[in-house]
This record gives sequence, structure tokens and C-alpha cells, in this order.
Amino acid sequence: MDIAQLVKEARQGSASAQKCLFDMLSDKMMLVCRRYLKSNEDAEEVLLDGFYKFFKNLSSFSFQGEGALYSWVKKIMINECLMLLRKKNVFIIVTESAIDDFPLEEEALNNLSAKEIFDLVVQLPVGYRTVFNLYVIEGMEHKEIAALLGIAEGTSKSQLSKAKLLLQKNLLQKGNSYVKRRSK
Amino acid sequence: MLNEDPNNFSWKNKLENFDQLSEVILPGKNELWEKLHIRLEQKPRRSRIMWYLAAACLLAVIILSLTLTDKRNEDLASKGTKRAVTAEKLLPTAPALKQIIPGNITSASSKKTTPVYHLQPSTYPAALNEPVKDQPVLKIEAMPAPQKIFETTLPDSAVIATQVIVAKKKLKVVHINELGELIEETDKMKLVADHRNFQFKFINQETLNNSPLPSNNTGFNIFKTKNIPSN
Repeated sequence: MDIAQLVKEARQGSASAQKCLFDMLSDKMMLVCRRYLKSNEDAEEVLLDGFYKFFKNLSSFSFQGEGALYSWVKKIMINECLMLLRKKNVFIIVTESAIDDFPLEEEALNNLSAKEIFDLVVQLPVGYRTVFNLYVIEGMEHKEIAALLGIAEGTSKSQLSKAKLLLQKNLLQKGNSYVKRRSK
Repeated sequence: MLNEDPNNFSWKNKLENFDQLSEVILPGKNELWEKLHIRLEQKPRRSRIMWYLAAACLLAVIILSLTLTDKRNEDLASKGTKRAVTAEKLLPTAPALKQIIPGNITSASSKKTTPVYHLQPSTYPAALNEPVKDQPVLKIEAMPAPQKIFETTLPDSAVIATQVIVAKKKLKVVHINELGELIEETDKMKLVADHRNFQFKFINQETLNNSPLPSNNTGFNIFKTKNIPSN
């Protein structure tokens, strides 16, 4: 069925249309939530809250294509994730002294596959992971991130560079083949 | 605004297209949908505004009822005043009615309390105070003029009834000539007179108000108390 029609029917309260939209978007949104939150339970909770808000506020959304719809739902999910992190008070900026000695090799990270990136990102501490997600994946600027998280712009920058260093460190500690693959 | 880091673009694209991860894909999608559907079907909770409105309505009702009750009381008080005035007009000859101070009655409506009536000694019939000249007088022991017949709060509807009672209690004034010849006072008469005297005193509350204060002159320290222990 046409997505525009689905959105229209869901806006009118059709349960079947709402279910279709949920089935269509839930997997992708679950991945988004899991990038921000460590546990599946938290991610599911956020997913439910996010979809609830999405369906409740669908009347205020003007459909301009599938991409716009996806972006809107994703934005809702990210906001819900950040809200949960704030509520649980787990948003702590971690500083790791060991990683300062490690040289940053951006290209090594660029050669990673999607699954490898996902696994590595999930393992990062909350502060690093959030800044990394917002800057690298969502494409936000440091100024925006700082305003959104209530931190200084410099902190956002340092968190990002530390996150990248930690990713490299984790790759090497695993003795992984990704870096080796790059050097070949 | 989006940052323009080219490396980020490749990372983003990789993760955007990454939606077939078996670990992460929802295991209980249908269960989640059921939960969501139930939540969506539920009626929205009543907002706080509803509670505030309800409280405001309740408060308004209470204030309105209090105001109406006050107004009703005022009306009743003014009606009572009118009744008293009418009664005075209806019974102009009754001296006791004239003894009622009208000022107190009029003030009743303004103070919202039941009026208190006093009998004025000056308004007593002259025949009681002045002896008849050149006539043998049956000398009755002069009694103190009653200051108060009663002082109590009464409902407005009882005003007329009270006035009638006051009128009944008035002593009958008899001229000396009507009494006929002097009769010697017997013991029985004395007893009756004493009894009457006591009744008057009791009515005038003399027996209660004019009771002698305890003093040391009697030789008995009746109400003497000891507060400080003596060692």
C-alpha cells in the first residue's frame, strides 16, 4: 500500500494502517534505539514510547515523502533515548587516560563494516557513544550536541575524539582483523 | 545543521543500510504491537485542568451557599424587627411593652444578633413610686427596681411571646381606697409576703448576683488557698 495512504488512514485512527507503519519502521527504529541504549529492554521501552508519540502526533505531520517520515520518526526515537538517559541519570562524561597515548587512525575505522561499527559503538561508554552517534551518524554539529546534552562545545569535541580512539583501541585489543585488513 | 565530515557520511550510510541484523531485530514484534495498540486505544487521562476546574466549581458553590445563608439570616432579622414594631402598635396600653427599648430592637438587624431587652425603672407606673397623700397607706416594703427581667438570646419569632409574658408578670396596681379596712398581719400573711419577696428577688436575680463575697470578716477563711508550700 502507498505510504501516504497509510499515513492518512493512521491519522484517522485505523489500527491496521498503524500496524503496517509499525511493521515497516520498527526494525530500523530498534537499531537506532540500540545504538543509544545498551539494553534491549530499554530500547523496547523507548520504541513503544516513541511510536505512541508518533501516532498521537501524526495529525500535525505533513507527509512529504518516505524520507521525511523516516527522519521524523527517527528524531522522535533519538529524543526519547536521550530523555531516558537523562531520566536514568546515566549520562556521565567518562574520561579515559589510557587512550590519550593511542594514535588516532581515522582510515582504520572507515574500513569497518556496518556490523563491526555497530558492535563497537554499542560497547562505548554512554557519554562517548551518545556524542559519537549524534556527530557521526546523525551528522549534528558540536554546537548542537552541546546544547542538546547541556555540555560545553569543547567537551563534545573531546568526547568524540576519545570515542574514536577508544574504538581503535577496542579493535586492537580484540586482535581483530579489521585493522590488519586495512594494512594489507 | 549537518556537519560536513566526509568520513561521517560513509559511517552514516553504512549504519543506515544496516537493518538486517539478526540480534537486534525485534523478537516479539507482535507483542510490542499489542502493547502499543492497547495504549493507543486507552482514553487519555483527565488533565490537571479538569481537576482545577472541579475544585473551582466546588469553591464557588460553597461561597454562594454561604452568601445566601447570610442574606436569609438578614431577612429573617429584619422581619423580626417588623413584627416587634407591629406588636407594639397592637398592644399600646400594655406598660411593659413600652418599657422595651426600641433602640435595641433596631440594632438587632445591624448586629445580626437577637435583641436584648431591659426594663427601665423610670418608666414604671407612677402609682408604684408615689404614695397617695393624706390617705392611709399600706406600706409595702420598697423593693429595688428590677434592672433586668432577663437577658438571653432569643429567636426572632419569639419576640411577641416574650412581650406577652412580660406583660403578665407586671404587678397589679391597686389604690389604697380599694383595699378597704386594715387587716392585722397574721403569721400566714407574713409567710406569704416573705415567699413573694423571695420570688421577686429570685426573678431579679438578686439571690444570685448580690450574694455576699467571701471575706475574712466572718472569721472563716472559706476560699483561702495555699499555693506555695510552707516548709
